[in-house]
Formats: sequence, C-alpha cells, structure tokens
Amino acid sequence: MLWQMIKKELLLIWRRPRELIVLLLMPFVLITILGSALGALNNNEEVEVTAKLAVVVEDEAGQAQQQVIEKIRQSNAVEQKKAANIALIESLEPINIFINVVGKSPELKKVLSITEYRDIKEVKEKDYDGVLLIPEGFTTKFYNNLLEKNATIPAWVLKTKDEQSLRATIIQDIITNYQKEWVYQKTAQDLQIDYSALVNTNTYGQIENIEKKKEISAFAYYGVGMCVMFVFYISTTVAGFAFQQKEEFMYERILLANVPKIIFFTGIFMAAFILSFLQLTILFSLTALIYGVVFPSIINHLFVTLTVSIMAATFATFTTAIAFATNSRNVESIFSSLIVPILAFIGGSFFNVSAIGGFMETLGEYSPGGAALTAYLKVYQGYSLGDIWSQLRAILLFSVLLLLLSVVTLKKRGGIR
Amino acid sequence: MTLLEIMNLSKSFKQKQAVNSVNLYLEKGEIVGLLGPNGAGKSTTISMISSLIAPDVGDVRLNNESILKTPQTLRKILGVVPQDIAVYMDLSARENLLFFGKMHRIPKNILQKRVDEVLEIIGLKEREKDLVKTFSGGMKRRLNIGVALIHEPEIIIMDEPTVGIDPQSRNYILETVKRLNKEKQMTVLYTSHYMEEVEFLCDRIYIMDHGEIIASGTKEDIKNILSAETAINIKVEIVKHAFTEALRHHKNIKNISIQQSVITVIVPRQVHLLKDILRIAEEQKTNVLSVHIETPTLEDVFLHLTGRQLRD
Repeated sequence: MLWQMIKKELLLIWRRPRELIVLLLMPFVLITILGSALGALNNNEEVEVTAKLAVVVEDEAGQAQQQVIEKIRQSNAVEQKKAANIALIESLEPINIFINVVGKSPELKKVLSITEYRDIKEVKEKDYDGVLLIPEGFTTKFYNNLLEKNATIPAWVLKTKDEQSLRATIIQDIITNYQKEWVYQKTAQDLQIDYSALVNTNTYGQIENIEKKKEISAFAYYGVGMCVMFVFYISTTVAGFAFQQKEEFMYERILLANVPKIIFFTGIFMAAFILSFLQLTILFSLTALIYGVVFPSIINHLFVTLTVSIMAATFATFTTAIAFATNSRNVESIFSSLIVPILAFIGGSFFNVSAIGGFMETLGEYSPGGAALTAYLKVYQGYSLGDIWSQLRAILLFSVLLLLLSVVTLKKRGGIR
Repeated sequence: MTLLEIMNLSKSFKQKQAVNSVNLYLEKGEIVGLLGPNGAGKSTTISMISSLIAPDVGDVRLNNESILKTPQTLRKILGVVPQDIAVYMDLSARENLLFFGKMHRIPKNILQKRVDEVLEIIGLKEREKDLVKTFSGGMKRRLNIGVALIHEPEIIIMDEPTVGIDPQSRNYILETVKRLNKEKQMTVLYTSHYMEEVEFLCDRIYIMDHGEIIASGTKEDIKNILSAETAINIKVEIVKHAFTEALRHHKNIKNISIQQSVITVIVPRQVHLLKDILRIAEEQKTNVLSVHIETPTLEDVFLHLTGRQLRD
C-alpha cells in the first residue's frame, strides 16, 4: 500500500512538465548563469596589482664606494682586516641591489615596477604610487654604519600617494623588509657572526607537506548551492500536491479506505526522499558531465546526498502537516516563496555568507542549507566523512526536529479522525 | 431491517450549530433521499455518518452497534461519492480505480477484474487509459462514482453526484444508481438539489433545514403534508411586484414563489381562487398568459416547509 502511495506521488509529478522544469531545468540554468558570470570573481584567479615606484637617486654610489675603500686602505688596521672590509664593501651596493636585484626579481616584478630618476623634478608630473628619495651621502653613511659601531644610520625617504591603498602597502612592505635585512646583516657583523651561515641553516627533522585541498570553482560552488536550494522546492512541491489531495477530498477517500494517516504521511516522506535523491543525482551528474565538477569520493557524495534527501523529505512532511493543520494553501506558497529563499540565502546558495563572519557565519554553517552546502563542498575538496560529521549531524538533528513537530502538529490538528 | 441508524446527531463549529439532533435510518436495500438547501447541514451530516468528523452528541449505529469508536467496521462496507470530484486528474481512469482499489486492500488477482467491472458500470471502458483531466464533466462525475464502487460497498452515500453535468450523463448516473440498488441490493443515501432525481430514485425522503430534519417519510407521506392544498401556477407576461404583493396579501394564499415568468401560489383545496387571481391581475395591469392548477409536488412541499426553493 505504501508503495502505491509513493508511486502515485511520483506519477503526479512526472505528468506535470511545469513542475519538472522548475525542479530540474531551472537549477541547471542558474548553475550555468551564476557559474559563468561569477566565475572570474570566485575562481581564485590571481588579481594583478602592480605598484609603481619612482626611485630618485641623488647619491653617487660608485664614487662613495671608492672613497670608503680608499679610506679603509689608508687606515691603521691590520692588512687582513683591511682586505676583509674592502671585500665586504665591494660586495655591497645597497642602491644597486634594491633597484636591480630586488626590484627586478621574478617574484617582485609582478607586484612592483621601479623607475629610476636622478632628479626629483622629473617625477613631479608623473603618476606613481610611491617615490623613494635616496639622498646624497646615503651610500657613504651606509658603509660607515656597517663598519663602525656608532656611525650615523643612513636614511632614505619614502612618500606614498595613499598610505591605505593596496599598492602603497606593497611598496612599504617591500622597503621595510629590505631595510630589516640590512639591520640583521649589520647586527651579525657587529656580533661577528657569519650571516650567510645563519640564512642557509639546514633544516632538521622531516619536512611535512600539508595537503593542498582542491580549489572550489564557481561551477562547483553554484552547482552545490543550487542543488541545495532546489532540493527544498521538491519538498514544497510534494507538500503542495499533498494539500491538493486534501482540498479535493482524495485524502478523505484514502482515509475512508481505512488507510491510517501515518501511511499517507509516510508516502509523502518517501516520495519526497526519492524525488530529492533523483533530483540531486541528476543535477550533480549533469554538472559533472558538462562543467567537470567531479567529486573525488562517490561514496562520500552519496552519503551526503542521502542525508540531504532525508532532510528534504522531513521538510516536505512538516510543510504538509502545517498545511493540513491550518487547512490553508498559503502554507505551501509561504514556504516556497519566502522560507526556502531565506534558508538558501542563509545557507550560502547565492554567495558565501560565512565570509561576513560572526553570527552570520555560525548561522550559515549550521542552518540546514548551509550545513548541506558545507558538507558537499568539503566532500568536493576531498575531506573525509569524519571531517563533515558536524554538518551531517546538524542536518539529521534538523530532520528529527521537523519530524517531531510534524507529529505534534498532526496529533493536535489533524483535521480528520 | 435497519442497516444504519443515526441517533440524535449534533455538531457545532465555533458558535454555529451546523447539525442539531438529527435522526435518520437506512433499511437494507432502500434508496433514501436527503433534501435541503445550501447550508442546511447535509454535508456535515454525511461527514459524520461516514465517520470523517466526530459528532458532538449522538451516535451512528451499524447493525445496531455504535461505530463512533470503531469506524473501520463501517468504512469497510461504505462507499462515499463526495460533492467535489475527488479523483486524480493526472492519472487515467484505470489508474485511479487501481489506486483506490489497492487502498481498500483488494487482492491483486481480483482487482483487475473488479476495475473492468466498474469501468463497464460507469461506461468508461473505452476511455480507461486516458488521463482524467481530458474527460468531460459528466465522465469525471461517473468516475467519481466508480471510485466509490470499487470495493463493492453495501452502503453508498452520494452527495449531489450530478451537479453541473449534461442531462445525458445525469440520466446515465441515475439509471446506474437504480440498477446498482436493484441488482446488488445496494443501500443508497442520496442528496440532491434536483427534486425530480429524488422523486425518480428514492423510496423515502428526509428534508433538512437549518441543521434539523423538518420532515421525513415516503414520497406520498411527504406530499400528503400538502394534501389539503392546491398549487396554482400563473404564467404572466411580465412579473410585476405590485401583482405578487397583492397575491401575497390575499388571506387564502399560504405561500408564493416565482420562477421566471411563473408564479406559484399554494391555496387551500376547498377555496376557489381563480376569479380572485384574475381580478387582481386586471387591477394590477398584469397580462396572464395561462393558469394551471395541480396537486402539490415535492418542490411545493419543500417550499411550504422551508419557505425557500431547493436551489436557493
């Protein structure tokens, strides 16, 4: 008898093309539109930001270097010390290293573009994110500071267009790190420690690689998001059909055949479960075939799909129970046009609500839609069932709560004996 | 032998008393009519009899045993034809009958044969595979009856089963009910707005108004309520308010009703009122086309008892 009840519900949906289109075609169209339109934003593609820096060199670095070397030669130090200091000075050209070695390194080239000038006036009319002024005597002070303990610290001047901007921050970070590097070297020099040995320290122990989880493409995100949202429409559609049976007295006829109410509602539950499972399977299969959104573990995916289908089935039962108790068709409309979109929004079917943080993040993560979405995305990224247990538990708890509420509602106001 | 007995049945919804102390009974194999205007309480009574809603007071007894606590006993032998067409529009006629047959736990080997029989009875064999939504109103009504017959009930309750259908389908349904009663000894409780249907089908009649049974008995018993009276049908060219008011105020006219251009007045049998009627018509400048004197019909009795037309 139960199978007849389920079969009838399935036949009713199968013979209504409008409902089929809404439940199968519309989510797929939305996956296509959202996945394509928002792909660039959510695809983790690199955003190119290049900060433009003008370096105005008023100093004569070469000349300063020669003067310092000459000064070392004429000093009273022992020959061995003189040779070491000359070698050090010859190996260090702070301005040249910054402009040609650091600034043109393959890593920084993507984010920093350096143009060298000799006069500040040349920069004035041009559009730069920052200007680094290296004053006259900088190199001499730099070498002196390196060789003598209490020498004046060399200073260059950095001016940025907008201190809060991303480009200004990039420039500030690069220059700060460059300066820190010299400070460490100077400290090592003062303490007579071999800095290069410090930098090239061997790593002891085992190097452990943290497994990089699969990145979530826009198609994957919206594939899951739309499936999780539209599975609730299975619930409201089934509930709508169920209430129509009450409105048009087929439900009374079923009860008059001595069929217990529980069989009718179990039929609703089972039909919603089967339809949800079929809908999710069809949509995920299409998304895999057409957009390459493939889940690494079919078993884990199946497990989540079964859990989500149970949730959709209890949602259908609950909606039906409320509609029967209130004897109102508006219940289905309210659920489908208000509650389902709210659940989808909170759950993150439209965009990642957890990015807002705080209460919304927690709400999103443990709302039924949000928990389902997170569970699917984690499975997509290769997490194990143990990793998604908290989401599955939230979904199952929500389902049990809805079932209990349905039973209470029907016991209180079942309408018919 | 009394098959089903309804005793002192009452039901109220919030402040409204829908049914008040209704008593009726059905003998095995008879067709009983339940007449009443809209809102008289017929459907609530039927819902209580068929165990769909619980009465506040009273009892429903099947073979002298109360079924209020065990409605399953009655449901097994009861078929209900609701006023609304309670069949699945997106299933075929056969699928509907199979579905409800399975709900009634009819064994699989018997069910197919039973479905064929019912399709023959309701005359839908040729359209059995078509979806119900493609059927005419009359065909849907016939299937509505067919679903109630699928488990071969002993008692069938029909709540206005011919509403809104063409005369041909209506006749088919009436003949079917008559045949089922005759051939299968099916007991029928039939409600209708159409007096001629009740006159054609029913052995006994209950008239209900404002939640109460106001008259009951055989057709003859009911008609005898007006045995001392005569109905005069006056066909006029134009119904003038002044003319009907003058008739209404005549001391010997007990009741008056108007249907299109025919005015019906109920008068004591011994009073000869023809002269007076023609005089009033002349005074009120009303052109009388014909006058017909007849013994009261059930419709007249109904009007007499309720002050309303059956279809009001």
